[in-house]
Amino acid sequence: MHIPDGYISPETAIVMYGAAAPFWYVAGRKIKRLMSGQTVPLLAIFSAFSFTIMMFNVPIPGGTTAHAVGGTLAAIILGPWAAIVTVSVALVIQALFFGDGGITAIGANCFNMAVILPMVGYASYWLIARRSEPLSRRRLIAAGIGSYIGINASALLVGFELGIQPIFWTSNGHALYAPYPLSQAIPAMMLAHLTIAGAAEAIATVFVLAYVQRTHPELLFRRGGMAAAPVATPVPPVAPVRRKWVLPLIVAVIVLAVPLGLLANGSAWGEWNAETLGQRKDVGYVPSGLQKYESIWHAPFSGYSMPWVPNNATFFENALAYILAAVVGIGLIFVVVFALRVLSKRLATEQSSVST
Amino acid sequence: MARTIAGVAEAIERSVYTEEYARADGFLQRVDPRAKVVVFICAVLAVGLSRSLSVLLVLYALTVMMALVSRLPLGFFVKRVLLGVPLFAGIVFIPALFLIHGKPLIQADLGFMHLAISDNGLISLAIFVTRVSASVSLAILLVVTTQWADLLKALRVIRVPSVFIVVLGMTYRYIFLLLQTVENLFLARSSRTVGRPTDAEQRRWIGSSMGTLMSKSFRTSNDVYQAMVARGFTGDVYTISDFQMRDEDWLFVSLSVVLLALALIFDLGLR
Amino acid sequence: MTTTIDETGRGAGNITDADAEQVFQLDTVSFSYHGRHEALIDVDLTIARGEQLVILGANGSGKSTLLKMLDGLYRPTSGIIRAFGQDITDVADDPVRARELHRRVGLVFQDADVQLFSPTVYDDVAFGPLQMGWEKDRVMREVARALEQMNVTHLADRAPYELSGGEKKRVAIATVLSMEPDVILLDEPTASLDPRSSAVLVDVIAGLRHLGKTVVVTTHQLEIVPLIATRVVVFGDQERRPVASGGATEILSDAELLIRTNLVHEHLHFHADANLMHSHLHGAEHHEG
Repeated sequence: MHIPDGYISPETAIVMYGAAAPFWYVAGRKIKRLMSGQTVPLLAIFSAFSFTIMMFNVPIPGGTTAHAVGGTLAAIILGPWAAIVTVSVALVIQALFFGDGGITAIGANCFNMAVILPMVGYASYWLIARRSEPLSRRRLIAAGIGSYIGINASALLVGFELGIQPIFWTSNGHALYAPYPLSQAIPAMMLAHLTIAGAAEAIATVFVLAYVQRTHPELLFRRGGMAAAPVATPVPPVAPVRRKWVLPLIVAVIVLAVPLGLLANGSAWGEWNAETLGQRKDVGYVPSGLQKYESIWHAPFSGYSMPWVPNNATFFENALAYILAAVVGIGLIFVVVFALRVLSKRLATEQSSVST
Repeated sequence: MARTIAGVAEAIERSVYTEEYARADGFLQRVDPRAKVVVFICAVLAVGLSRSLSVLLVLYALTVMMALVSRLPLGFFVKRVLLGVPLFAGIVFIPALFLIHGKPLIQADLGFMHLAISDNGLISLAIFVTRVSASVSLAILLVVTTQWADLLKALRVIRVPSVFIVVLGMTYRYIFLLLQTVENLFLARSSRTVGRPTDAEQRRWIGSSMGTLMSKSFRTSNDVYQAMVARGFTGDVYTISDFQMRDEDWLFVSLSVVLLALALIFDLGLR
Repeated sequence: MTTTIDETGRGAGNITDADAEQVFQLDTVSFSYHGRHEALIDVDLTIARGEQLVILGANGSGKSTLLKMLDGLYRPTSGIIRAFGQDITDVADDPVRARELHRRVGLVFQDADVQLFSPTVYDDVAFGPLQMGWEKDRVMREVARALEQMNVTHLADRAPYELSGGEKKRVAIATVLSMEPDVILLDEPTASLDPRSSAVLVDVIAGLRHLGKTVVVTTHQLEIVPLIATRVVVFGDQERRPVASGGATEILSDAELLIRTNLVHEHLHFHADANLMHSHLHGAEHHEG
């Protein structure tokens, strides 16, 4: 269910990061309040555990194997908010280190598997098992059904995310990202998960929960709280906050605001060309010198338009071109400055090594 | 069961390889990790926004060049990139090949249905596979040329909170502990097993080994917390890093950004 | 019981009885887990500065629990415990005092994997100083020093899982050394180490004296005791408290004590006057005790 890089457009990817972010934030707050400093090792080790679980190949009736995610299981044992963080961390490591799932798609994958999956799964589980004893059989059944529903809800969402790609991002008849529309993507995802993956998830969840019921029942009564250690009040952080990011931020804002210039029609004061000058009411004529020298230099980006942006380009494309031009301009300045510095350093060391 | 063992062993082996390349003396290895993170993000954006096949191919070629200059063996690089996600992507795309409309290039008449691969279909395939390849190459370049601990610390530059960085670092570290435990569990089991266990037996066994892993996780977490407290941990996490941006690093960032912006401008022109 | 003066001769001229600071003082201390399992019962113990104390006891005699209590990780169920002259029974309630205690008392856990939780060796050794709030330059200095003292500077960039058992132990010791502790506690340091790594580690532990540290080691391996102990305290696994105390030679020649406290099995021979362990083949010549 991991979405690789290139399957979803940057726009989709960014939106999905935006969708996951509030959940990460809230989850972070919630567990910090519940568990103080113990959170750190607990989350780390459970993420490692979650990651390891995703490597187990569970045999399914029918002869194949599939692997479970374990998100609902984590929600049942650690609580839904802890599950969000745990599975997210495991997914990030899978993406960064093992190439399983794209890096731009981390937001999407986390939203699908670390947010929707455990939350829907846990909600279903809770609805079914809410009143029953923590060690009862009903909880096991609820866990199986809950995790099955959770993983399929997640799969549906993935199908949706992939399916809308061809709708919005097609150019000249060919799809730019994932090529299958909703009518194909969704059935494809659901088929695999209603049968194989869903079964694996349900089986793994039920068996592990049964094991925990038998051997470590105390885990099911307390919500992730550990023994012995004292709750300490945090000491205020020592490292001073650096404000070095302010300057780059200002530069970035300026660069991005550049396209607003496109919106302003007409020319800036004092920068008119001959024709416009002639038309201005307060002048009414064109100074001959101006007329003569105007055509000497044809700037490559005259009028700040990109000659190679096609005429039927959208506003966004024009805006992008604007921004890119600004980036190239500023970037070239940096390139020249640093190239000179590097070269002069090299020359200096060469000279000193020659003279010694 | 054998598949799980194989998967685990492969994961452990991969990590050893990766750290090895991160310590080699190649071009990217010498660049400040924060610079690499920033350039990576810009590059991935450029790859994502590009629409023309030629621009994508150029970008992909650039990643290969970067790999060469960083002393990554080409065989390893190509194998790990192409024979993974992009190959899979290509396969995934095949049905779509027949479904995209355009001028038919190859046709087959099977009596009950007419199959055609159009020019648009082929171009779509090429764009898709190239884009995915370029994206995956970029990710590999970033991860393989940077030591894991440094990569995590570099994430601070995009404002990832310290807590996540510490948790990520610890998770990575304990993944190996758990993987070794799993390996031992499974090896011990298969050495005591004669013949092939039934699916039901395997499921029960997987359930109990996951459970064992879980209780070990709880115990270890408890112990690690004590070890942290014993060294003064009170709930706030700190990291220490020694990154210094040299002139060469700024040059790398600005030059890359300029090239990527030019690539996108070019791409816009081709639309 | 003797109080040893630090061998480097530091302060040898002006150490008086009052100054020979009692680093730890336990007064009828008991501890039980969750009110059920009693790990320590009515322990009376003093540890003086500069000592190299070995606590001998079979598994389950409460040694690990004792060390964790000395470092303020566990609170005694009853009794009073003092460190550096101050009552630390309730130290866990006061974060500032707790942190200072953790700095002055370094604990090396039995399982190195639990102690090395950062991505690299350098990060692990830097963890303690960072928690203390020291500024970056100082942290880097202390880390470099500790790595040097434990001879693991060449391992600084490695990940913990890449290290051998002996290397992990040395790094674990470095992680507490970087905080400049006065006391180092080691819980079963040679457990799970092969003989050669064991020998190296024993040298390291003996060397901690020259750094001026008070050292407390728990172990059930008799052969290392004479090499590192200035005093030995034996814990009974039935009694869960000290049942004997004295010099290494004295304790190790008391065969009856060792058998009673489950440190040796009657079948094995042990030589009180030999400093090196040597093995007997089954059915080989017998020596008189």
